[in-house]
Amino acid sequence: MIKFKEFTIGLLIFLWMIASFLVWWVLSGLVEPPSGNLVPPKIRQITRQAEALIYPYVWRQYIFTTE
Amino acid sequence: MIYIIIFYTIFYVLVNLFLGLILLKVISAQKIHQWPVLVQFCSGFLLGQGVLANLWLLLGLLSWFKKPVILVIIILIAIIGTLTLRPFFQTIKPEFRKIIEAIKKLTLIWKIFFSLLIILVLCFAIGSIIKSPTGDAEAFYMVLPKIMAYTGTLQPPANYISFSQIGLSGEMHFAALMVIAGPVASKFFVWFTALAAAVMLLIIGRLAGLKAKGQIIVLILLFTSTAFTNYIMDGKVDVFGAAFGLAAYYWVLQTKRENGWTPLALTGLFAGLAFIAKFSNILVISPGILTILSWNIYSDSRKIKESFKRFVISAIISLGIIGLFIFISAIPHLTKNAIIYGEPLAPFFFFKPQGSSWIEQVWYSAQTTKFILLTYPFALTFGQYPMQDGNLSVLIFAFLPLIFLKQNNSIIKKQILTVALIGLAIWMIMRPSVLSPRYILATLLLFGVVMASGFENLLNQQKYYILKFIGISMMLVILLVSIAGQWRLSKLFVRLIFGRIDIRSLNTGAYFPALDFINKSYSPSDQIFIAGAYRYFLRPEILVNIKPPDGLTVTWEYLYNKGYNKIVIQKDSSLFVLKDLENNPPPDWLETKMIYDDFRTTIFSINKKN
Repeated sequence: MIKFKEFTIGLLIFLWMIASFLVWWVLSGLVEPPSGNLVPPKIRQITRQAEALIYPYVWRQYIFTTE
Repeated sequence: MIYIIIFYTIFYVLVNLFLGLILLKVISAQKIHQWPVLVQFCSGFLLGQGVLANLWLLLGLLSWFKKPVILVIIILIAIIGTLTLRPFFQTIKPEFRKIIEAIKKLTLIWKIFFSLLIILVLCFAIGSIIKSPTGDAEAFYMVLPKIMAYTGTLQPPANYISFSQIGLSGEMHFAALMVIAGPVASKFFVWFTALAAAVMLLIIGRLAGLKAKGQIIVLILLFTSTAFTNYIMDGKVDVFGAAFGLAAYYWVLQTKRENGWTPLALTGLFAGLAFIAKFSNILVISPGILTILSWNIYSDSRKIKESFKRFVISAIISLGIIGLFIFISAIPHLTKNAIIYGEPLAPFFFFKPQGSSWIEQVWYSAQTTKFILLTYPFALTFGQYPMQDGNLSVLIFAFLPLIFLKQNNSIIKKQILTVALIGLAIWMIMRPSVLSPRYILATLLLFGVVMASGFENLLNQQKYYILKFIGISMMLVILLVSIAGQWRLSKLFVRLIFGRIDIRSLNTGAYFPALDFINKSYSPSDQIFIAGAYRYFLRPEILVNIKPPDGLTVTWEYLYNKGYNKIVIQKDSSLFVLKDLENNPPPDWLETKMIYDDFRTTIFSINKKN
């Protein structure tokens, strides 16, 4: 049986880690990194096509117009 | 040509190592063998670096920084080292065998991680060779060495007179390598220093209880932190301060009574070198050293139930030894500032009233600063502020909550976390608007050890399988993305190795075409005015002859009267000069002509009409 405390801690850490990764990934498309950090543009160009299928229209518009 | 550069750089690295090992033997009274080989290796290399940089500094002050003198010194060190250090090199083989055995025992996924890490580190080596100096390196950090290598004398660049009051550690090695092997070797040398910093961090991790997986994780955290990796390749010197700082942290962790006075002396030496290499280290590393030192002395006192008085006496003696060695390592720097500026304690304290301190820097408005403070540690990982130039690895941020999971916390791990938190807190209080991880890199990297330990602890638990999967996947993706970011350089390097391109054609930055135009059209009678900081690509004889204007308002007439006949305007930083000149047309008797223009730079010639 799953312990409630353990499950909650695990879930919170899971969300933190996933959120960190997504922020890192999405930020790479939103800002122009001054030192070439974050995700290289070529990789983002490829994944953007897949991301476009997932993101809601408003987000997509924002991402595409600011990138 | 590239092979010669690599050969010379490795030879110079070995000279640093030999010198450091000889000094370590002297300082520890032949007892250095009680520490692990890797510790001896990295401490030796870094100590040799610190001493050699100071030697070059003194030679520069005496105008003896000439190729024959440098060659005699390094060859002499190489010969003495080869003759006296044979027993040490016999101990390396078993150590490497141990490391290989440990790697063999890893599971496939960790072997993959290790291989990707090696590929990434090699990519940075390639980057340090191929990438051209950029940013501040083009403005100062590689300009001062270029002038010194050419003139044999330490003299500040014309536009950085006050700023040259900083400690010049990395710059001295740049200058020495420019003399014996050229500027590419200078940048490549930073990679070796970065390796030493990485190994110091790894050894601190071992002290904190990291096992094989944890050690791989801490290295992944380090080499995916752009606040560290950017400076391996761009020709700046921040890596030197970080490496010395980490060495100081390692040795202060070793200040236990049974270890004698060697760790105290080495803490002092490395702390002094770290302070000189990067002044910001003074603010954050000093409290860390004081904390760990008092902690260790107090623990020792409690073990043998000493009185409080004995504890205080021990603390004063230990502090005295550390202070003495900090002072010893700072003597050449103080001498430099005394000779050049007549102010040994510049830029912190001036004996003359007209001295101005440039260290009180405020980068942003109160509102932005408040926002930055409220968004720590987010700002360190994701911030994209101007001049921040690099972040801590997102993995450090992602693994942050793992430290709250139940685990065995050794005293050393607690000490590491404490000094990292104290250092960061002090920085946030004392320099709230200066958001740039590179300023306090050694201290921030200690968080990497704690986070790596947290993730290794998670991996050892028989639960949280999804978290393990997420963590490992993140590391894999981020490593692959980091390698992909450097992949273009590897392709260039292959072409370079096979002689299809020349290294000189690669070491050119955005300002190169305009400055090369000046190089080609220069005659000794030319007087060049440069509005802008980026001058590295000028020939050294031109760099030496550039004189800065003595006023702030620039007009055509003023420039002509001051004797300038070529006006170089770098538009990124000095567009206002161009606007000023356009808005104030030259007098009728003066002829101005645009002789060069590109995206970054405009060059005019000015002459009196016949």
